[in-house]
Amino acid sequence: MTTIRLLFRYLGRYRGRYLLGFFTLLGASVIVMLPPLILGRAIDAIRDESPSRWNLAAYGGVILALACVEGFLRFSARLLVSGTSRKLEYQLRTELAGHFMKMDQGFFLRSQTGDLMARCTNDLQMVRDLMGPTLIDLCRVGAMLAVGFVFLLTVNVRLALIAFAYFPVVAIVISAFSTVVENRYRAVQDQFGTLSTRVQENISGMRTIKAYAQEDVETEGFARENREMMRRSMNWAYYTAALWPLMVIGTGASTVLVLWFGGHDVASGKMSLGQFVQFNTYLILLAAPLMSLGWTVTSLQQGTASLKRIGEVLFTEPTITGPASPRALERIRGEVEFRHVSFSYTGEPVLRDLDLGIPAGTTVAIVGSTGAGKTTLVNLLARLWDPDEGQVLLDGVDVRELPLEQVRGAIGFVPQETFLFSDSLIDNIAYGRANPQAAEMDFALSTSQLVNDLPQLTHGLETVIGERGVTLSGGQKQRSALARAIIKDPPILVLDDALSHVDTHTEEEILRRLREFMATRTTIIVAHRTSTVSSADVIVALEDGHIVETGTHDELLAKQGVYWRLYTRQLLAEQVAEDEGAPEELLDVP
Amino acid sequence: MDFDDIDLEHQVGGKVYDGRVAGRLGRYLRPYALLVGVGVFLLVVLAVLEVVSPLILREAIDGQISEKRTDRLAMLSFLYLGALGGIFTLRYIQSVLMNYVGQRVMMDLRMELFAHLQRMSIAFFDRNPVGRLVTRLTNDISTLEQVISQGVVQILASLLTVGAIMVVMLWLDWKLALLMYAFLPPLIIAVRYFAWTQREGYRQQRAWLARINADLNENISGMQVIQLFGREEENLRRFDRRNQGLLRANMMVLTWYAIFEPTVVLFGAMTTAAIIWYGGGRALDESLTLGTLVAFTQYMQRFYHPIRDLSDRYTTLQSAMASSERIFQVLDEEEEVTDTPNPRHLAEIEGRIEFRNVWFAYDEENWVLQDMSFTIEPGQRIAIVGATGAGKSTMMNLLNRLYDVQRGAILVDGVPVTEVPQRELRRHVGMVLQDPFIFTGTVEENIRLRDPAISTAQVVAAAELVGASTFIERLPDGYQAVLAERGANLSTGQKQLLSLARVAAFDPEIVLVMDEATASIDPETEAMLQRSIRQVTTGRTSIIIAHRLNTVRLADRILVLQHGQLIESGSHAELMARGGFYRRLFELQYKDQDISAAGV
Repeated sequence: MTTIRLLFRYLGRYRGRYLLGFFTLLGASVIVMLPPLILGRAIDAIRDESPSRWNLAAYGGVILALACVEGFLRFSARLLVSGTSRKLEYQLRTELAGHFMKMDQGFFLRSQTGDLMARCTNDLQMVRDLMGPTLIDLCRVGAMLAVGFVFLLTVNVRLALIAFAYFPVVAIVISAFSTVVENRYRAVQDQFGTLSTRVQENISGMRTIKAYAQEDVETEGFARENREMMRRSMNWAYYTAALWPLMVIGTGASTVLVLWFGGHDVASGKMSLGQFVQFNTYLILLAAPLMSLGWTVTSLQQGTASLKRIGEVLFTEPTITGPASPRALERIRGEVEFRHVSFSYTGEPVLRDLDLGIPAGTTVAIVGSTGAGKTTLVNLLARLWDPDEGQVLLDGVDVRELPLEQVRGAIGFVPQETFLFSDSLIDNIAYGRANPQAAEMDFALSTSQLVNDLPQLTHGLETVIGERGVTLSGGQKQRSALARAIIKDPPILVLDDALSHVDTHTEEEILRRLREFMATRTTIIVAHRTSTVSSADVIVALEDGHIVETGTHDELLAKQGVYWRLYTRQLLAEQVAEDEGAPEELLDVP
Repeated sequence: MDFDDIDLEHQVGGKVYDGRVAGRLGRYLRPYALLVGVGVFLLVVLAVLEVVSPLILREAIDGQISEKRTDRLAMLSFLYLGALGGIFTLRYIQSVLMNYVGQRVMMDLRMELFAHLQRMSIAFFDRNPVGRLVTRLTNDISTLEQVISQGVVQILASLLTVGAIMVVMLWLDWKLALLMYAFLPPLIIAVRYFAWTQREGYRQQRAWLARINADLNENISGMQVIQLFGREEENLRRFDRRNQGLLRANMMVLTWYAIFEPTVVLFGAMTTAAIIWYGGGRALDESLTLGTLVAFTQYMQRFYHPIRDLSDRYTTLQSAMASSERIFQVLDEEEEVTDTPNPRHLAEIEGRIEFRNVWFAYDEENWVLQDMSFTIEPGQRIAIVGATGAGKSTMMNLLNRLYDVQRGAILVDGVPVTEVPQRELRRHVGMVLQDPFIFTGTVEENIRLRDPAISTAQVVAAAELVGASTFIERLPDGYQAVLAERGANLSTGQKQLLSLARVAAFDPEIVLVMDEATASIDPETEAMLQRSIRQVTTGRTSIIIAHRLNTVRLADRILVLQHGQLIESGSHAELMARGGFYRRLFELQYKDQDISAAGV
């Protein structure tokens, strides 16, 4: 139901063009019926009247003129309908991309990137075909059959009825066939899915397969699925192979009927030879659209299925939106408070009734083991998620009541996993701030210590990085992300394990330079290294979504609790290994 | 710098017809040469039959209807019907035949590609994302299917039909036929020009689509950053620019197509007009019959259909060529870890391992292992300790030849592993992976990895040996319980137990254990894993990458690694007494565990 509604919503946007397109098609269908009439007249004339060469040239001229009109009409219809469908495709694509921009993190966690991309490209093309060529074909088949029948009637009523008698038969056979073909095609698609999954798993699990020398068993298993694919494809082919010839024979049979009955009519003088030829030509004309009907039906089914998939995404409302009547703060000071906050991603609680107040301008460090809820806490502040219970307050106002842009605009966020775009380094740094001043850029570059890396890069700040450019090291990426946050000049700075790939020496330098920047801002640092957090005003230790310890570095050391254990262990680690930042992810291949 | 230009060059490639690629594709048809031959022969017969039916009509008009006779009309009707029946049957057979050949070739190609991937080294899989390889094996091959079962054959059929019509027209009336031929050169020029514009349009279309895909991928993956930095509008604007580019390319293709369609109509009308004017004139002086005239108009109508078809097939061919190029690229990837032509076999082994001056680097110059030498006696249990990046996992990967050493040698029972076929070697060297991969399927299948040589009893015995049976039997269907993709319904500890059960079931003489202490394992499971590792390594030569103190203590000997070099070796007591690196590492890493896990 919603699919149909969606379809009409888009078609309705260009109602005028579609209507005009339809009438143009109808006109073309009428015009196309005229040349056989001329041809018939010409033949009768040749047979009975001995026309002059000029007369014959006139017949030819009329046919040519009609073709010009028909050609023009077809051209217009194609541009009107297909052209519009392409405009709709374009609009829908931008609409979808814009919808993605509004969606919450939960949506992206549930969906797969590949699938979303497929909806934005492949599915959209199917829908475009549905609203363009398929619609044209449907209209053309309808118009041609209707107009054709009328013309056949004008020639010879009895013969027209006979020729059209086989129509219901052809229609029934085609629809019966289509159903079978459709079912068998689905079986092929299912097997294709099985095959894809098999390949996907094989390649993902290649280490295991190789470690146990199971390549032969895997190949054998694949061969079995592959043969099944072949079997199902052939089952489908047995039917589809018949579809087209069947239509040929369906339309051809009518010619035989006309030959038999029409021949007798001409012989008995009830019909002229010209009319007989005219009739025959009509049947050939009508055969082509009839034969494409099967294809049109398939395309119709594919198009509606794809439209449904697109609708699924478009009708999913984002769960995190700005409030209907936001109360914007004039200026954000940076006071943060978590009040009785509980949160879970999938039912397993990550934060439980957590309370934490951070006065404006202070630096708070959060430590704790993996899965303790550190990242979740800072994500809630930036409204990447909303808490299940409790409130997150910014300057005393619930973040859900503030405009979304203001909340996010107030936070310089350096996420745990660095994401940089395939763009120049300078564009990546200036991501959250258009046209920064040179002094601001210099400050960001020196604070993040990126300034030392620039000579290595061939084009300096203009070097294109990311997937299609230069690959930066883990540390360089993190420092770029830091520069990106600094240049935003936010009242609140969040560093979520943001210097984990930066070596200790550089980290010290960065923290030293950041100190001044942090003095006037609220800063939340999530970190594992105690050296990173020791100078914070308050250190908070999280465990299982609770705060287990709060205090300054010295206070917590005196307590000899979680933080103390972390500290002593790392102190020893520094003594033992002067690790110079070896590329861990490469070396530790399991 | 505008990187749009980069991908334009990079993505567009793929010629319509590349002799080399086509020739290579043709090789896959060779086993089915006979079937293809029959198919082509049927096509010729079909082309003739299709030309015959208008001739019957001509005979009916000239011999019967024009003369106001009906005596042979029944016969001619049946003949016409017969021709139709023949067309139907032959076309059906031909279609099934070509579908069969197409499917067979696809099956062969898929099989070849799959088998080829099984032979590639792990380094290859490190370089190539899973998605790309899956696309080669699925979508790219399906694109090829269209060209084999439809593309080539249809093109051939279209050409044959056009040829047959030309011949018959010449036979019917050579003067009128020559007049018809006169329309061919401009038509061919028009079709070629149209094809060229289409190619240009499709090129741009593909380039823009690639950019849209890249942009979408980046936007979806980086959505968090986009939202945090308030870039939604700016990024949407950028996306919209690319989208507009695609619209422009689309409109270009469409406009040319919209022009092409009426052009063909116009050509059709011109020939009909010419037939009436010239043929009609000839009919007047009776040098041409009316039946022939009608037959000509019908032939010309049939003539344009295949020509329009030809330009459609062009697109199919184009994408198929691009796909086959990509497939062949993968097939041409050389195996990096290869078996020697004269391999040495390890039928029964004792399990002595020797590293002899081993050097290894994943990329040139960054040596991960440097001149490493040591020997492990059969049945010994060895623990390797060292910081992350010291080269522990690398050693394991070299021993079972997931990679090959650059210098030096690794010997098993005195035979260099590089001289033993990889799969044979791996049958003797079992590996317990750090992050075990769970396949979709039952628990039993996951333990025996679909290997039919391992019986259900062996699977159960293995699970019992490592203590995995306890949790397995608690599952709803026990050993037949179906595990979700990537083992989503299992805990990390359970996955590791399954991995241990795998080794026990395969029963190799040498066992390598990657034992990573994971935060998410509770003390109870950890103790269980501990026992399991002891069980699996008893009576076999084993190397354990140890993170837990108790595992280290299990070992007969401990090898201490730092920066790819072996710096200490000996028993726990010896190394502690020496007071070197191991002692400090022990104090650092295991002190807490010692306090908390001493009771276990």
